Amino acid sequence: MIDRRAALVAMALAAALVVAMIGSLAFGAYPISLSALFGGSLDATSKNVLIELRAPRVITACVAGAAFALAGAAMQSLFRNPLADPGLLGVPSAAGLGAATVVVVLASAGALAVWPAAMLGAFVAVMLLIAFAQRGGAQATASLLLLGVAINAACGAALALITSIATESQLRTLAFWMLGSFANLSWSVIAGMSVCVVIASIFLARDANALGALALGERTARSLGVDIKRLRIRVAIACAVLVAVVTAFCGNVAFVGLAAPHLARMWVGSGQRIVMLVSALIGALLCVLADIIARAVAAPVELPVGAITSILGVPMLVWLVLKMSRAQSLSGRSL
Amino acid sequence: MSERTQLLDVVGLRVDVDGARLLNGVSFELFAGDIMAVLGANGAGKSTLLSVLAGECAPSAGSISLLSRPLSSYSLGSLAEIRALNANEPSVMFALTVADVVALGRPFAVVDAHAIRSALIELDALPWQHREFATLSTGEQLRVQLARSRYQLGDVRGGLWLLDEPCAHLDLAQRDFVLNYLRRIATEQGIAMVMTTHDPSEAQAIADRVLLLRRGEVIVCDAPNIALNRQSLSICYDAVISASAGWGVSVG
Repeated sequence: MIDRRAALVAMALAAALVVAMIGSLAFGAYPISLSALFGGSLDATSKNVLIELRAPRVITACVAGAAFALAGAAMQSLFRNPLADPGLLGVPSAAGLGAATVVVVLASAGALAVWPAAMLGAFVAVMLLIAFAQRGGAQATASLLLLGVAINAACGAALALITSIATESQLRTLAFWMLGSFANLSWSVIAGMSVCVVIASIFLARDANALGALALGERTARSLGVDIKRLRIRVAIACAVLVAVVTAFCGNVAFVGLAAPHLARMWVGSGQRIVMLVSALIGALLCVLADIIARAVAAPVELPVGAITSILGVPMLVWLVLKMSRAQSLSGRSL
Repeated sequence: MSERTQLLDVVGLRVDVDGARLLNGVSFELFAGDIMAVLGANGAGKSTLLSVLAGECAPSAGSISLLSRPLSSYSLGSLAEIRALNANEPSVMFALTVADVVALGRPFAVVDAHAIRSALIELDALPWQHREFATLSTGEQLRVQLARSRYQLGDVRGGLWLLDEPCAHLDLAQRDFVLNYLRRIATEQGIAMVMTTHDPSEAQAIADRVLLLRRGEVIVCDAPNIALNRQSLSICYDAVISASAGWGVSVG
């Protein structure tokens, strides 16, 4: 049910996103005036900065934010777990490990091999989580997160081993996406990333109703016609694609996948379709803003954008944990 | 559809899980509009029976036919149109409102606000429609879940409604309301119901048939006034059952 309020929220967010994007285009070491931007009277340098630096960066931030937010919204529903953030569950780490392995071990392989490797890593992580959730039952919120800790730790250890055998130039590549950045992507990479994200989003949107029904519990959802096993696989693949393509080129954009869906649910209720749409908008907005902050705070030094989203996201996580533990102590129910 | 349409035909059902025989040789048939109460001690196989009837797991042996077709030949989607399940699942995720929960009864269909409203009215739950589901009491939540199943089945005639201990946590008034409601819907819409319960008096009140299970096997499956007696219940629960004030375990 998409009510008027939800539609208004979505439109307001879309408008805010457009404003933030324009602001991000204009802002930076080489300022571009808004009047010149809209008047079309840009000089050659401005045009160059805009097309080669700013625009790719803004679009990357949008795509990355939307992808992480969507993956978060889908995974929260799939695992019936409000803390099922891709990052907390170790999916970006696994994608990063896959990418790192290709960069270092198969040194000759180019960018074309990095994507599939990142996707494979992310997919393995998501399937591990799903296999675990299937065994542990629906209430295993805390244990699912512990498995996420384990995946993060294992990938961190493997990454440390790999970096120890990496060459100087390989290390630079590795460091780049460990920190996370929306900068320096070519238009062709952005196009490829966008296509992947759009396709995965379409698949998730088609499964929105089934994911929504999972809120009632797995048995009930199944009795309502949801084929849970197939749904799990489809959503796992879509989430792995979303997280992997972004992680492979921007690093882990921490906490966006946690914060965006929660804000969306607070603002537009629980209809899965509208929650996913609004999550994507919030995720994009958060990342565009985080990118502006990353460039503004210590200019001309650029801060890693993942650090900025973490600073914004950690209070959210703490708040959620407090809220859940309060609910738990009130009702005596387990997480 | 005549009153005596056969809805369920269960023959020689056996369920083995990890070497344990949970059900053995269970046979019965159920007609449109009939309510069957399933009683048995904890672990006797009530929930397993409900789960197999819901199509959640395949029987190790025997057959289940729903409307003269093998249960396994139905797709999940076509099954959802004629079979509802109230399974006592622990909690609802996220801050769903009462109306949201009912609307999820048909997750893949266009929302029918009128039908949702009338399901809520039938279960006397309309005043809560905008409330968050999680804030309702147990009895209220159950009624909303029943409204959700009601909305799922819609106007279907001759459907199957499976209920796992629907009255387990209800006070007397709520229980009365729910039992009366189920009886009325079963009769009016020709829906067959299978409900598990621990209370013989519930079975006595609304059931057309009573199935007593003991360690996965049927002790008796018959009309309540035949199936429910001191002897059969004593066998069923491995305890001395008295009938002095309703059905109760005699103490001392």
